[in-house]
Formats: sequence, structure tokens, C-alpha cells
Amino acid sequence: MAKVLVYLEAKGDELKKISREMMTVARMLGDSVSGVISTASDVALSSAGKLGLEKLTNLAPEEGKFYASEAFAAELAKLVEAEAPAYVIFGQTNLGRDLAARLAATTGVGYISDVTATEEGETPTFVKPLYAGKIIGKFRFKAGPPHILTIRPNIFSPAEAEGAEVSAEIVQPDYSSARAVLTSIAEKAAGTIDLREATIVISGGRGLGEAANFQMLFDFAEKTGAAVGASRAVVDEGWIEHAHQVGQTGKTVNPTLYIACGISGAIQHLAGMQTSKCIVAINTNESAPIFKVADYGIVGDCKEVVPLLLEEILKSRG
Amino acid sequence: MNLAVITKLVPDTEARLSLAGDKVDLSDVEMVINPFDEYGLEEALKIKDADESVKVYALMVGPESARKQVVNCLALGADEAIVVDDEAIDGANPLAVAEVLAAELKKLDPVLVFAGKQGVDYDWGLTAVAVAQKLNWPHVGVVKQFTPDFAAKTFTAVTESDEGDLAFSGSLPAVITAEKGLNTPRYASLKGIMKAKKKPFAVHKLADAGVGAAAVGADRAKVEEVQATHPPAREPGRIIQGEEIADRVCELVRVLREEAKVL
Ligand SMILES: Cc1cc2nc3c(=O)[nH]c(=O)nc-3n(C[C@H](O)[C@H](O)[C@H](O)COP(=O)(O)OP(=O)(O)OC[C@H]3O[C@@H](n4cnc5c(N)ncnc54)[C@H](O)[C@@H]3O)c2cc1C
Repeated sequence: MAKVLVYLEAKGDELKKISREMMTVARMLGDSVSGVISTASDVALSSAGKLGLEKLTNLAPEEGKFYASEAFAAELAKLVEAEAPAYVIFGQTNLGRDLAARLAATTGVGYISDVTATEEGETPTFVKPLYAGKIIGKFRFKAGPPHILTIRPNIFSPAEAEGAEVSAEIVQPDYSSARAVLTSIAEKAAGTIDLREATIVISGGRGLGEAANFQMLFDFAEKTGAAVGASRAVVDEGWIEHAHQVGQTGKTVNPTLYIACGISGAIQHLAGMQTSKCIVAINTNESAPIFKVADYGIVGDCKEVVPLLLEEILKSRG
Repeated sequence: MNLAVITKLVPDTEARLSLAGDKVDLSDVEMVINPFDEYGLEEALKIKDADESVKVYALMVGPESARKQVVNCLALGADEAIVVDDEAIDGANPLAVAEVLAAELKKLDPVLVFAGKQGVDYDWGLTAVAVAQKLNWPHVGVVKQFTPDFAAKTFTAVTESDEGDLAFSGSLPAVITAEKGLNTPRYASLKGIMKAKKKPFAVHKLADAGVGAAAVGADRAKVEEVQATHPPAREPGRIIQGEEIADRVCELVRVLREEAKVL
């Protein structure tokens, strides 16, 4: 078995769920896992240290400076050189994919992005949806190691902490070499659940009728712990921000439960949600294409159904 | 001042894709400019709107048959188009494509290169970043707000993440990859379409780009595609019946709890 390097991510004091998911993949591919993180939080650092790592490196941010692809890729390239891992694993998150790509470009090694499954064998194969999920591609590394992967969030089960806590080695990234630097983070309000990590997603489309009716979905989300998604049609109408768009030119989500309210089910929308475990569609038109992918459907007005559904779910939870 | 937009040809997002053996068969599929690249082009055109002396190049590694789609970039307002079509290029390898693009870009000497955040075909998200690396430039990816300051040779860029909005500061030249929402792409005007026919359109071979075939051949690929399949179809679902809406909702919650076990 082999060495694996994972690029962990934290959000404030919390280790992101994707970090534990990366650990699961890392343990499938190797027996010695080292971690790299960049955080100013001792709490996050300590959680990372408890994941069962051989070694943990913190690319310590400077005052007012956070991520910088050039500087971070240079540090990772040094680590890769020194430790010769078989795999370097990132999350398919905005910064994870960015750093993975810059590292792949810097080192010229093989890179497979957005992996959703691994198949073991003499040379492992990696599964990745192509063409917005219309095709499932299987890939193999032809050269290397090292091999670079990003994994899609919410697919692999998160690993539990194990082993003794390791303390982090501090590395000061060379920010002076970076000509593009993340200088401020406008943190989201506490309690907002990331679409890509949510267990329940409730999405609205043009069938909601008007922008104000999105409030119904936000209410639902707040009370059930869901995240709110949207079709492109309503994003383009300006009813809701692009950050909520699900689909080929929006986000890909894999919740346990996806509830599509007043969404027709265009192929580009399906691209972003068809791997959800259970899909519920609420639509007035019984021949809407969304019903073809839905596990359960209600033919009816979503403005009427959503409040009832919320009430019923809360009742059932007691 | 020159700007460049790198684009890629991808299947129309509406297209149904069929397989020929282990591979996707694109022979009968309508191809379009990668949707994310359109936001990159629009960003360059906005800069040109404010300063007519700006020259915008549309650059693609792809088949000569992409002329139809690339001419549309000219109709929208780009000044010149270059398509590098050479069968020696392993078009499936983002690092090989980036090698060719970087060589062409060095000759165009742009202060900014725009691209889409990823191709909607393989979603590698690697080509534009590798172009930045090969040019020894910085890049910011998945940008939804961009403000250059050409006099100061700096820029700010905002990307969205699960943590919240991330604000980057950087120096020019740079590569910027576009997220949907960066802008609203324009449509081609009739005048634009007429003008496009007279704008320079070059089809290059590797030699024109100044790249040796050995650097971009299929044997350089570090990753191979073993197999393409269709995803398993979802089991047909069912429409929940019931006299009143409230009855249906009640039944839905019951099946979600008891059958699907997702609540
Ligand atoms: C390049 C490209 C990329 C795209 N990317 C995306 C993407 O990422 N995500 C995306 O979503 N789309 C995307 N689209 C757009 C997509 O093709 C559709 O236009 C869009 O998804 C439609 O949104 P919608 O379902 O809200 O609206 P519509 O198609 O107008 O559907 C509205 C639905 O609501 C139903 N309805 C009406 N009233 C009610 C009611 N009172 N209660 C319940 N149901 C009701 C109707 O029966 C209908 O089915 C893309 C398109 C292109 C060309």
C-alpha cells in the first residue's frame, strides 16, 4: 500500500465534511495518510490532527491573506517531492479544484477531477460523470505516481476520527511569490447550509409564480435543516441568486432527499440533481419531464403543497 | 491593449449522447461554444466597449469545422479568431491543449486571458489554469465579479464558495475563468454578423503555433479513459394519489419515512 496526501478544508473552527470524505477515499487508496490544511483556527487544526494522520502540515495564513494558488501549489509540490505520495486528494470545492489544477499544471502529473467512485484492481479505476452526468466515464492513470484526484462532495461516507492526535507542522507559504491572493472572506450567516453538503434540498422553479414565493422554501429549509436550490429560469429572472442554481451551469447536488417545486425537469437541471437518493416532484402538469426521474410525485400547486408538506414533516418529527 | 478569450467546442447541452462501443459517439451531435466560455468572452467585450482600442482575440484548439461557432464570437464583437487544428494534438489532454494555447498567447501578448471555469463536457477545469502556469501568470478561477485596473496593472475578483464570497486581489497579466453570473452575454446584432465575415480568421497548424508534435501527442497523456457508459436509468417512480392535496401530502410523508426512509 501507499502514501496518500490529502488537502483538508476547514470553515472557521469547523473541519468541512468533505475533509472526512477525503479521508475515506485516502484509506481506500493507501495506508499512510498525511494532511495539509490552511487555517488560522486552532480548533480546526486540532480536529484535523485527530483524523488519524501520519503528519499534518498547516500552510499558515498571514494577516489579511488566505489562499494563494501559486504559493500553495509551490508548497504542495515540495511536499509531494519530499514524501512521494501515490495520491494527492482534494475536494471538488471551489478552492480544492483550483489548487488541484494548479498543482497538476505545476508538476505535470495526471489529474482526475470530480471523482464519484473508485474501483480497485491492479490499477484502480476512477469513475467520474461526464457531459453533466449523461455519461459515466472510467479513467485510469497511465503515468506516475503521484496522481491527483478531486472527489465530489457528499458521495463518500465521512471517516471517523481514529488514532492519536498529531500536532501540525507550521509552514509559512511564500505569499510574496503569489500574484493573486485571497484577501477577504465575506462569511455567510451562521446556520446556512451548503447546497452541496445538504441532506435535504428543496428547489424552486418558475412554477413558484413569483420571487416572493421563494420565502416558502426558505421557511421550509430553516425549519427542516434543508438548503434551497433553484432552476436556472428563476435565477435568470432575478428571483434568487446564482449561488442557488442547480444544474449543468449551476451546482451539482447529491442530497438524500431532493424536492423539486414547480420545476419542469429540463435536461440541464437534471444534470445537477439526478444522483440524489430520493427525488420528489411537485408540479401541476402531470406530463412534466421531472416526473420521469422522480421517485414520488404530487400533481398539484407547489404553493399549496409546500406549506402542508412542512407542517406534515414537522408533525411526523414530533 | 490585447485581450484573449480561449474557447472550446462542446456538445449542445440539450443533446442526447449515444455510445459507439466503449466511447461516446459525437459524430451526429450539434456542437456549441462551451457555455462558460461565453461569460469569458462577454467580460472581454465589456472591456472593449469602454475602450475601442482594445483588441479581443478568440482562440480555440479544435477542428476547423468549428469555424461556424467561432465566427459567432466575431459577430459578438471579438476582432480576430485563431483556431489551431492539428491531428497531432491530443485534444483530450488539457495539459497538451494548454501547451498549444500558451504558445499562441505568447504571440498575441494579451494583458488578460478569459476562459470558462470548465468545459461542460469533461469538467476537468484544468486547461485555463495550466495556461496560466505555462505563461507563468497568476489565475483566479470561477469568478463571478471582476474589476481590472489597467493603469495600476491590478485587478480584484470575487468567487463564490461554501464559506461565502471570496475576494481576490492580483496583478496583471492574469488568467480569469468565468462562472455563470459574471455577466449577461449579449446577442449578436445583424451588423455584427455582417462585420464578422470580414474579420481575420486564421486556421493554424502546430508549426504556426510554434509547438513540436512531441510535446502534445497522445503518448504524453497521464490519464486514459477506459470506458464510457450510460448511467443506470432511475426506477420509474409513482404519483401519489389522494382526494385532497392534504391527503396526498400526508401519504407522501408516510412513504418518505417508511419506504424511502429519507426523513
Ligand atoms: C447552456 C444551458 C445551460 C443551462 N443550465 C441550466 C442549469 O444549470 N440549471 C437549470 O435549472 N436550467 C438550466 N438551463 C435551462 C433549462 O433548459 C430550463 O430552461 C430551465 O431549467 C427551466 O426552469 P423551470 O423548470 O423553472 O421553468 P419551466 O421550464 O418554465 O417550468 C416550470 C414548471 O412549473 C410547473 N408549474 C407551473 N405552475 C405551477 C404550480 N403552481 N405548481 C407546481 N408546478 C407548476 C410547470 O408545469 C412547469 O413544469 C440551461 C439551459 C442552457 C441552454
